[in-house]
Amino acid sequence: MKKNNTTYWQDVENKVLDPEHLKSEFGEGELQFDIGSIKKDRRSFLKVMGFSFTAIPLASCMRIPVKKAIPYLYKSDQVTPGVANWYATSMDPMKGSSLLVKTREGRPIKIEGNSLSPITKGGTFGTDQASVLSLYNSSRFKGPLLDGKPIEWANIDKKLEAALNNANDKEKKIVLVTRTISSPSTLDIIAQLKEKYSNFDHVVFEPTSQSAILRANEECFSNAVYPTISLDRADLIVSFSADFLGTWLSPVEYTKQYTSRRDLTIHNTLSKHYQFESLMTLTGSNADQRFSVTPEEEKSFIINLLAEIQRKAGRSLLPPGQQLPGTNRELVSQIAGELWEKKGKSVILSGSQNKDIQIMVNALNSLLDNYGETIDLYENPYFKGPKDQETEDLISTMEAGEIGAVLFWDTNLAYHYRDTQRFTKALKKVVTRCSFASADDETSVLCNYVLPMNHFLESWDDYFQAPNVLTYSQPVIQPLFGSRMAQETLLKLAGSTTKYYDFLKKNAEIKFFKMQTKKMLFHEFWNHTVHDGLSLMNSSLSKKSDLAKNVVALSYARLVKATLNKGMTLIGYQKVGMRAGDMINNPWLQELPDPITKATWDNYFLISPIDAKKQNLKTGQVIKVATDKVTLVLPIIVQPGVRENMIGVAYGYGRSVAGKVAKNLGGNAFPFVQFSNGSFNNIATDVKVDITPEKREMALTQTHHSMEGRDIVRETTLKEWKVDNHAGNKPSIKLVSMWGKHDQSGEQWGMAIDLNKCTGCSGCIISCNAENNVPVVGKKEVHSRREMHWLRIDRYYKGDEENPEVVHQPIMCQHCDNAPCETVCPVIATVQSSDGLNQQVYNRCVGTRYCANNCPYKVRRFNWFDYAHDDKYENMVLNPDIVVRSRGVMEKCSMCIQRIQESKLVAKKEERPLKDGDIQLACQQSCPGDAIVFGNLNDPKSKISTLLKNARKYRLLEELNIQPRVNYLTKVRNKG
Amino acid sequence: MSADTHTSKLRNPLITKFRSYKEISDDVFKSVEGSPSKLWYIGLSISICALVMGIAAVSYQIIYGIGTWGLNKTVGWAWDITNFVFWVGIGHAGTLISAILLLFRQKWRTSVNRAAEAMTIFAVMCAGIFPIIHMGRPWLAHWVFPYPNMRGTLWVNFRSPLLWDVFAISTYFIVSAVFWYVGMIPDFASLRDRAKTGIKKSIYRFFSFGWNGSHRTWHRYEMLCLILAGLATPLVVSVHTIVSFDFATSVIPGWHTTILPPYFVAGAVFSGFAMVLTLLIITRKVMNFENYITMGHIEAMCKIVLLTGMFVSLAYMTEFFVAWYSGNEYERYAFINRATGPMCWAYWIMVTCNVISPHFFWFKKIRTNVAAVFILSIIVNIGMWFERFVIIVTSLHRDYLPSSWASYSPTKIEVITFIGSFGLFFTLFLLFVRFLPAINVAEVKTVLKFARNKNEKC
Repeated sequence: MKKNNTTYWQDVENKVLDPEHLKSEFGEGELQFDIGSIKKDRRSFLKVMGFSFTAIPLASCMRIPVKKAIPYLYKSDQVTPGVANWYATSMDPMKGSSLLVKTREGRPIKIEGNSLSPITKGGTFGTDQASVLSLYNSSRFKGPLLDGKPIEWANIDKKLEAALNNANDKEKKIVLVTRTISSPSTLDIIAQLKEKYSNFDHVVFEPTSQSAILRANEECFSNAVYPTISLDRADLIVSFSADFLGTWLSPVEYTKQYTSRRDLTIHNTLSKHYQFESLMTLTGSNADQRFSVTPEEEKSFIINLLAEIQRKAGRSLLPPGQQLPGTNRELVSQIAGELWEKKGKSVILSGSQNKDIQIMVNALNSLLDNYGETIDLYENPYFKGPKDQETEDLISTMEAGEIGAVLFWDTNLAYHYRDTQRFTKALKKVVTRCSFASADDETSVLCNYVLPMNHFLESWDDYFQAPNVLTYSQPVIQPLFGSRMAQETLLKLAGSTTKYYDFLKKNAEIKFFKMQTKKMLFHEFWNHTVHDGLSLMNSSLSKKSDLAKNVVALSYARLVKATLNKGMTLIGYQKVGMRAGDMINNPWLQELPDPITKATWDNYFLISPIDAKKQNLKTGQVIKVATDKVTLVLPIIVQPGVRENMIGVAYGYGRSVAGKVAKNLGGNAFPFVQFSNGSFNNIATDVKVDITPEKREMALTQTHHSMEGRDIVRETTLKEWKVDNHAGNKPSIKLVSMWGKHDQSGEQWGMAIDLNKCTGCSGCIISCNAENNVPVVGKKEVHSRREMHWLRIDRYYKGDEENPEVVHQPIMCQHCDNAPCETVCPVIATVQSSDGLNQQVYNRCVGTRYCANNCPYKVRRFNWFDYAHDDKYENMVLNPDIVVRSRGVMEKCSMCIQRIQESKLVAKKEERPLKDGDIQLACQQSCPGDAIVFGNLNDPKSKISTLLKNARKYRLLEELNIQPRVNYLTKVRNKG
Repeated sequence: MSADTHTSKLRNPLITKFRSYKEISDDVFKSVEGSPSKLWYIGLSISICALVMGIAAVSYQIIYGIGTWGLNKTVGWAWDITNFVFWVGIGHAGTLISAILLLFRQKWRTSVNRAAEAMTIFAVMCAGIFPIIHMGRPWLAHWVFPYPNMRGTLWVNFRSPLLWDVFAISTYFIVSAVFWYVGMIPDFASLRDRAKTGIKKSIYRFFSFGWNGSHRTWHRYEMLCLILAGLATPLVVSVHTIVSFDFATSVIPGWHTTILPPYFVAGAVFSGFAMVLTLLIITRKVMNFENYITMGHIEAMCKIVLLTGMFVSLAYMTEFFVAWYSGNEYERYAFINRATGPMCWAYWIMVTCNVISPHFFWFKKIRTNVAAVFILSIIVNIGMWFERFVIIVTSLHRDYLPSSWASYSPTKIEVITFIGSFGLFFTLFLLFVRFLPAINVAEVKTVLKFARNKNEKC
C-alpha cells in the first residue's frame, strides 16, 4: 500500500474525492467491474448482487487509516490557536536572505526579513517572500522513486549505497553535482564522501554562473571568493552590466546599502551611480546616469578607463599608448577624474562573465584603493563556488564512460546545461543516476534514483552568509510530502549513522562555538543562534587583496585580441522574480510583473526601439533567433534603453518537465549560453533574426509608459535640491470642501514613500500577496488586465527612447479622507474608519464596481471569477487572519488592518500606548530599500510626522481634494 | 378637451380618410379580437429566440461571474451601463408624448401615445435588468433598497447616485405604468362591451374597473390623466438627470461635467423619439394603421428628432469647449482622447449618427419618405448607443494615471446579453400589439373632424 499520510477529506467542503485516496482505502486495488459485459438476466443479477453483498462488508472491514492529530484540547505549550509563532531561519545565501517565518497552527504562512542580520538587515526580495508558497507546491515528489516507481526510503538507501559501492569497486568515478555550497557541515559531509569513495568528485554548477569573478579573484589575489561589497561606503558607483539591485550576487544586501545612501531625509548628499549596460536592468533604471552600450563598447570603456586611471596613479599595469576605439573619450576622462577624486570611496562592478574583464575591474578597484574600503576579499574556507570548466569536464568524462554514478543535488543539468542533447546522451552512459530534487524536472526524469529533497522550511542547515556571519536554517514544519534532506542521504552514503541535525550541531560545538566569545556555554550559544537565526563570529578575518600585476597585462593582451562583432547579439539575463528559474513553479512569482517590462508569466526577446522601428516590429510580434546550433521562437517586447543590435532574453523559462504552473511557458534561453575562456557566458554574438508572421498576446500589467507630461512622479536633481529643498515639488494647494472633515482625533494612520529609495524591486508586491491572500489569476486574466495585486509599482520612462530615464512609483490604495469610492457605493460597503483608513466591507459589497470606476488611482480590484482555491496544499499558505474574498466582491489594500489590530492588542495587553514602529505593514517590512514608512500622523514624534514636514513631500492628484493619506517624497537624481 | 373645438382649414386632419366611430373600433380592436398575422408570428419567434439567447447569456454570466464580460481593472463598466442608459433614454419619448404633449394639448399625440407609453415601459424594464445583472453578486440586489432589516444599523448610502437611480427608475416605472393603464380603461370597457364569450368579457370587465361611460366617469378619467401627466412631466426630466448624475458626480475626467443632466435629457428625448419612429413605422405597416399614424405624425416626430439632435450636437460642442476652457489637463486629454485616441472610431460613429444624420430631416421629401425615416431613426439609435459607450468607456479607459490605461473589447456574452434585451423588448411589444389596443381608441375618436366640429356632417 502506498504511504499516504495527509490526504483524507474530512468535511463536505473538502470532498474533492481523489481516486488515489479511494484506491488506498480499498487496499486490494480497484474493483474492476464492467457493467456492460454482465449478462442482463436474473441469474447474473443475483450473482452480482450476491457478490456485492458479501464484498461490501468485507471491504469495509479494512482498517481505517490512523490519523496523527492531537486536538487543541490538549494544549501544546508552544502553539496557541490564533497566535502566530515566529522562527528564524535562513535561505541558502546564494538564493536568499536571513528570514523570519510566521507560522500559524503549525503552518508557515509568511516570510519576513530577519532584522538581526547584519547583511540583509531585515530586507527581503520577492523570491524570499514567495519561497513559502513553493513549500506547498503540490507537484513536489511524494516519496522516493526507483526507476520511476515508488519505493521505501530504507530500500532506496540500500540500493543506492550498493550502486555506489559497485561503481567504486569498478574504479569508476562517482560525481556529486551541486550548486554553490556555503554550508560548512555540507562541505564536511562531502569531504567524508571523498574519503570513503576513492574516485569521488564534487562539481559545482550554477546555471547563471558568476564564476568569472571567482576566477579573476583567484588569479589576481589567489582568493576564489565573491567580494564583500559595501555600497554604503561608496560615494561613486560605476557598474558595468552588474544588476546589483536586481539579480547580481547579493541584491538584497546591495539594495539596503545602496538606498542608505539615497536618503535625503538623513544625509544631504547622495552617492553617484553610473551604469553601463546593453539591456535595461533594474539597476540601470535606478542609475543617476545610464549609458546604453554594447558589450564590446563596455570592454573598450573599461580598458580606456584603466589606462586613464593608471596614468593618474603613475603605475603601468597596461602597456601605455593607444586607446581602444568606440568610446567617448571625454566621458572616459570625466569618469576617471571623478573616480580619482573619490579614491577609496568608489566601487567599480562588472557583471561580465569574461574573466579578463573582471581582472580589469579588479585592477581598477585596486588602483583606486577601493580594496579594504568599499570592497573586501575575506578568505572563506566554508565556501565552494562554481568552476564552469568542471561542468564541461564532467560531460566529457560522462561521454567517455568513466563515470559510474552521478548524483545531482538541486541541479537540473538537462535543462540548465547549454547542450541538452549532449548531456542527455552522455548521461545515458552512466549506470547510477541519482537526483535530489523537490519536484519533477528534466534531469530527474532521466535518473533511475529520485530522492525528494526537503524545502528549506523543512530542513536544518548551516551557512556562512558572509565570512563572519553564521546562519542556521531550521525546520518549521514536518516534511509535507515524504521528502528528506539530501544531507541525510549523503551522510548515510558516507557511512555515518548520525542524523544531519546532530551532525551540524556537533560541528557548531566543535568549530563555531570557539569562534565567538559572547556565550560561555555551548547550549546557550546553540539556542541563541538558532533562536536568532544567526550568530556573529568575531574571529579575525584574513583579507587578501594584493593584486598580482602580471595578470592584468596578460588579460589585456587577450582582450585586445578578441574580435569585434558587428551582428546582432543575444544577451541572456535573469528576471528579478525568476532568477535562474528555481522557483518557476511558483504562481506568485510568475504573476509578479517584471520591474522593467511589466510582463508576467512569460519570457520574450527584448528589442531596442531602433531595431523595432527598422523592422517595423511591435510588442507581441514573434521572432526567431538562431545561432548555427540553436533556435528560439518567442514574442518580442520593444524595450526602451536596449542598445541597438542587442537582444535580451530571460533565463528560466521553457521547461518541458515541470509542475502545472511552469509547464510550456516561454522558451529556454540556456542553449544560447557560450563556453568561452573557461566560463559560461551569457552573450551569444552574431545571431540570426527572422521575423515570423505570428503575433502573441503578452500579459502586461502596464501598457502605457509615458506620464504624458502629468504631475505624477515629481523629480529633481541633487544640484537643484541643494539650492532649494522644494525643487521639483509644488506647494500643496489649499482646497475647500463642501463636506466637514472626519474626526481626526486618536490614531490617524498615514504612509510616506520615498521615491528616492524605492528601486522598484517589487518584493513588496509578493509580501502583500502572501499577507493578504491576494489571488493569482493566470496569464490569460493578466492579459485581460485583471491582475489582483493590491500594490503595484508604476514604471514610467522619460526622455530619449534609446536611453530613457526610468521612475518607479509604488501605488496602493491611498486611503483618501474624501474618498471618491465611498460616496458612490450604494450599499456603504466602503467606509472611512475612525483612524482614517478607507475600509472595504467584503460581505456587504454587491459588486457594482462604481467605486473602482471612481477611483482616480485605479487601485481597486474586483473578483471577476471565483479564483482557484482548489489546491488543498497551496491553501495551507493562506493567512487565517484574512478572509478569502468571494466572487463578485471588490477588494483593495487595507493597510494590513490585521497587523494594526494585532499590534494594538499587544499594546493593550501590555498596558502601554502604541509605539511608533510597532506596526509594520507587510510591504514596509519586506522593503529592502526602507522606502515605505507607516505611522500615526497625530504623533508629532513619529517618523511619518517628521517625513511629512519634509520639503520633498507631495500627494498624488492632490488637486482633486480627495485628501490621500499616502504621501510621496520626490525623486532626486544625482546628475547635472 | 373642450376648449379646442375649431379646426383650421389649413391644417391636415389628424386622422386621414373618413372614419366612423365603429370603423375605428373595428380597425384597432381587430388585432385584439381576431387572430394575428403570419408576420406577427415570425416577429414573435425571432424576438423569443433573441430573448432565450439573452437569458442563456445572463445565466452563464451569473453562474461564472462578471469575468465572462470584457471588463477589467480600469474599465469597470462598459456594455452593461451603456445598455442601461440606452434603454432608459429610449423610455423617455413615451412619457414625453403622453404627459408633456397632453399638457401642451398636442392632439396628434392621441394615435401614438399608447404605443409610445408601452415602449417606455418595456424599455425601462430592459433598462432595469442591467443594473441588476451588472452586480458582482446580483442575488444581493435587494440590498440597494432601504428596507427595515436585521443587519443592525446597515442602511443604504443616500449619497450614492446609484441609489438615486434606484428611486428615479422605480418611480418612473410606476408612474408610467399607472398612466398607461389608466389610459387603457375606456378601451378595456369597449372591449368588454364588444366581447362575446364569457371569459373574455369577465377579464375585460375586471380590467375596465366598472367603467360605465357616464359623464362622471369621463370627467374623472380626464382629471386623473391630467394629474398623472402633471406628475409624470417632471419625471421626464428627472430620470435622465439622475442617470447622468452617475457620471456627473464622479471624479473621472469626461464624466465630471455639469452639462451632463440637460445633455442626457436632450439625448434621451432624441433617442426616444427615434425609437418611437422605428416602432410605429413597423406597427402602422403591420397593423394597417396608416390612417391613424399618418405622415403628419411621422413628420412631427422627425422634427422633434431634428430639434433634439441639434441640442445634442450643441452639448457635444459645449463639452469640448469647456474641456479646453477649463484648462484642466486631465479633462482636456479626455476629450482629445475621445476624438483621436484608440477608441475614436466610436466617437466618430456617434458624431456621424447623432450630429450629421438628423439634418436630413430638414427636407420634407425625406421626412415623408417612410423608408428613409425608418433608416434614419435606426441610425440615430445606433448613434445614441455609441454616445453612451463613448462617455462610459473612453472616459474610463484612460483616466488619471497612464500606468492603468487599458483597452476594452466586449465578449460574446455581452453582445448576446444586449441582443437578449432587444428580444425582451420586442417580445413584450409584440405581445402588446396582439393583446392590447395599440391605439387609444377613446382619445382618437375625440380628434376626428366631425367630433370636433359640430357644423360638419357626419
